[in-house]
Amino acid sequence: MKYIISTLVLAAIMHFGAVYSLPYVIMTRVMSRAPANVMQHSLPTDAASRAIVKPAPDLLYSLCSYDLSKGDVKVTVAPYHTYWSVGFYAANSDNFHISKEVKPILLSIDKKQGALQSPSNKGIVLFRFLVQNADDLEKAKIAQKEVKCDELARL
Amino acid sequence: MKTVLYSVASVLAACVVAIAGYFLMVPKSFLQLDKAWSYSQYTGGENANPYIRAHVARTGLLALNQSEAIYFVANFDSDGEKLSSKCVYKVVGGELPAKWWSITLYGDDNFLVPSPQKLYAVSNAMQKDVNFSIAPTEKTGLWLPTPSKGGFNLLLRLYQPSEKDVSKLKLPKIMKGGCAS
Repeated sequence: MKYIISTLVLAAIMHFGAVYSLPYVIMTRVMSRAPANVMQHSLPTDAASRAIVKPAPDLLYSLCSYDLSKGDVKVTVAPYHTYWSVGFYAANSDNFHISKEVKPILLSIDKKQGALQSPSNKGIVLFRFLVQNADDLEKAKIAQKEVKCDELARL
Repeated sequence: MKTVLYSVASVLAACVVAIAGYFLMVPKSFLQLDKAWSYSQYTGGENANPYIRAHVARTGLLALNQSEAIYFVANFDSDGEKLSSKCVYKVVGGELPAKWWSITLYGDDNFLVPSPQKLYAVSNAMQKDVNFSIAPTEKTGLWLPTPSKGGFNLLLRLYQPSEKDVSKLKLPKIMKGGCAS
């Protein structure tokens, strides 16, 4: 009987531990592939794109793994002629903010005026540019070069 | 010796129960809209329960929340049978209410299926109404290739949907034709 009870208790701990920690583990793995606070630009998505599951073949991505432990991060946004968005993801993978305005965004761990407060020190900023033809692709590549993710020194 | 064996068996049994619990609970967190398509309004959002968050992290990391996009997943056809790479399907439906939409085919590993012609998805840039084939070999008209083996899934993305009440959406039908033996 004591083995049955200990098995069930252990199963419950493992189950809830895995369910709660899985998003953090997966996000950490993705964030560790690139230096923090540097924008990384993807090539057009195809079957060789295996960095993140379920990539959209009609989107061009730019991704920044942010780390606010040393200060705020300024996200520079670029204009684009068709659909685009920039999504902000916390360390647990929640999409806590989406912006479609062409203006810089100050990302901070602190609550302060004019800044977007992140729920966690680390997370991901992901730009999506819709690419449906060759003209879109050229323009998206130009937009990719303009979007940035810069660490600001803590005052 | 007996105690060690019982302890090892206990840990292994706990692993099996813990994993089985995950696969039992995840489907309960998603709404099955018909026999083919499932969805959750909490995908990507801060109100997601731990099962939705874990499942989305595993199978669709960095999804946008519903204020921007709605995602529908099909692992089954419209008769409720698992999508198979050996079968031919016709996907048919009306215009979808969104700024742009796409239906992408992914293998069991949730990555795009290799295709010499880079046929991965159908979108509103290609057709107004949904009407295309899925098949192991080339078809006339718009088509997407299946993986060489195993199953696959479809992901319907509605970006900036003009209709967010999913009960009012008419999602495409996925109708199976023949299957290779």
